[in-house]
Amino acid sequence: MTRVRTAYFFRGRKYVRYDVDPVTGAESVNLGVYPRDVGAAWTAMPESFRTGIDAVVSWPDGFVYFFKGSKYVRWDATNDTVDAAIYPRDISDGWRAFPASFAAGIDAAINWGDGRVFFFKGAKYIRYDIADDTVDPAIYPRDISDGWSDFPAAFAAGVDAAVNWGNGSAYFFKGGQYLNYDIAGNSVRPGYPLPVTEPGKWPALVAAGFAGPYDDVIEWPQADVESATIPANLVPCVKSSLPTVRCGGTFEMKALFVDANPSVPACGEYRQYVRGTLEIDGRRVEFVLQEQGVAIPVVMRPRPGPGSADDNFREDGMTASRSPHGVDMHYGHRDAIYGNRNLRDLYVPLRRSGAQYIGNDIPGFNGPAGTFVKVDVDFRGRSSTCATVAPS
Amino acid sequence: MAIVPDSPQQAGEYWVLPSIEAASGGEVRMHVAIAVGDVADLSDVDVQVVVVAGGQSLAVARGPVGGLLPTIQLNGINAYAQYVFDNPGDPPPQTVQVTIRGGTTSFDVSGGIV
Repeated sequence: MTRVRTAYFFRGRKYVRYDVDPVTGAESVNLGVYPRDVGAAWTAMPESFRTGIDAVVSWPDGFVYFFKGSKYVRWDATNDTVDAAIYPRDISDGWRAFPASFAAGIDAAINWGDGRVFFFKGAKYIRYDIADDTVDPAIYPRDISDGWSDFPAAFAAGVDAAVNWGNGSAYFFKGGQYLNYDIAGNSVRPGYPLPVTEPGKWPALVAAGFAGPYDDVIEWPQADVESATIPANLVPCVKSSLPTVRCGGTFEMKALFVDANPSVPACGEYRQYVRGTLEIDGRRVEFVLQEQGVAIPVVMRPRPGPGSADDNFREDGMTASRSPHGVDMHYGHRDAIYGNRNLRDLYVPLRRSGAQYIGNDIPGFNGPAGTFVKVDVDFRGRSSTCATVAPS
Repeated sequence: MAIVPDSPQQAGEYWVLPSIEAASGGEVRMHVAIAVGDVADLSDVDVQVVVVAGGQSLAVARGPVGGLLPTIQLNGINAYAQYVFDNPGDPPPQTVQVTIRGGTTSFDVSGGIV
């Protein structure tokens, strides 16, 4: 199911959350909440960035970069955190390919969705290659008027904000005006620039009293579930006798996440939960589970009775104390310390940003021949999506 | 109906949870669930359980069969040690002490059958 897409417009210490319904196209701002102080919702944001930013851009791994002066902050959109031990950090330290004039600060940034990011400063811009982390010094910085030849003069002199809307359009803002840029056609659409206040164009921003100028705008990364096959390739029960008697099944968990260009669905994650009862030789036995982030393991719960408020599902995890890798093991956590070295719990092509999840579960029993075991367990697979930094 | 402590505890490197399944008819039936890292992690000789009832340590009537403990695997794996203790007069169990490879922990089970 496709979720409402969200963009954030920043100006000084205020911001507006802008929601776009992917089905109807309806655009809205909760006027009871926005404009709102950045510091009120972006609680991980360093103090110096709460009073205003220069630029913001998403990266194809679920991180979002905020720039202010000669500093930048890396925001983890998967859990809305910033590593306060590292950020704010000098642009010149983290963006070695930037020319000095851009390392001193930028005006706007936009992820073009094809592996390139454009950074703007004054009448100049640079093109950043994401895969190589390079800027071609033989070409950039380059005049905006050269590379964006159909930009009106006011925009060629500099842009305040730029955003890839994820639908083939990019918007460039300058003062109270904006351009609608056709990414595939490499051209400004006819009729632009227009004022943000043009009737019918950005009515929700106008209603919010937030019609520009902007520091920058970003279409926020998120993840939608494109497909999920859980369980896949189910083998209910197979008995084997070497090296010990084993009776168990196997199944795979497959999920595919998507996001609109230019983001990638790094926020999409798989989780697995269990509940039920176990017996050995007719005697009920308990099962010790390790939930993510909980110091003391928990006991698997049975199916609840009618009317219970708790569905009794608990996360299906292995405790670190005796796990083969010395860490808690769960399904689907992108930040798992053991990462893609756990071949039963993979994101491909990369754990941080891969759109596809492939898990493999092998529930079963091992023990002496002649033992009767009853495993009556429900597995629940669930996908989770991006954290959101502000109330809807 | 069983006595199951609220939370597992660590006996050495192992998280363990004893559960008293029944305490009547002159015996206590119980098992210990042990979070392990491999199906061949623990054998019967690695686990010792002491149940105290009426101020006395109960005698083991039946314990795990020799060799590797049976295991059930979900994401994690639990090994199981199942016991029957003699409990003449059926005084209520008070504590269960679990020792695994030298690591020991005790559980208060005096809350009774719930």
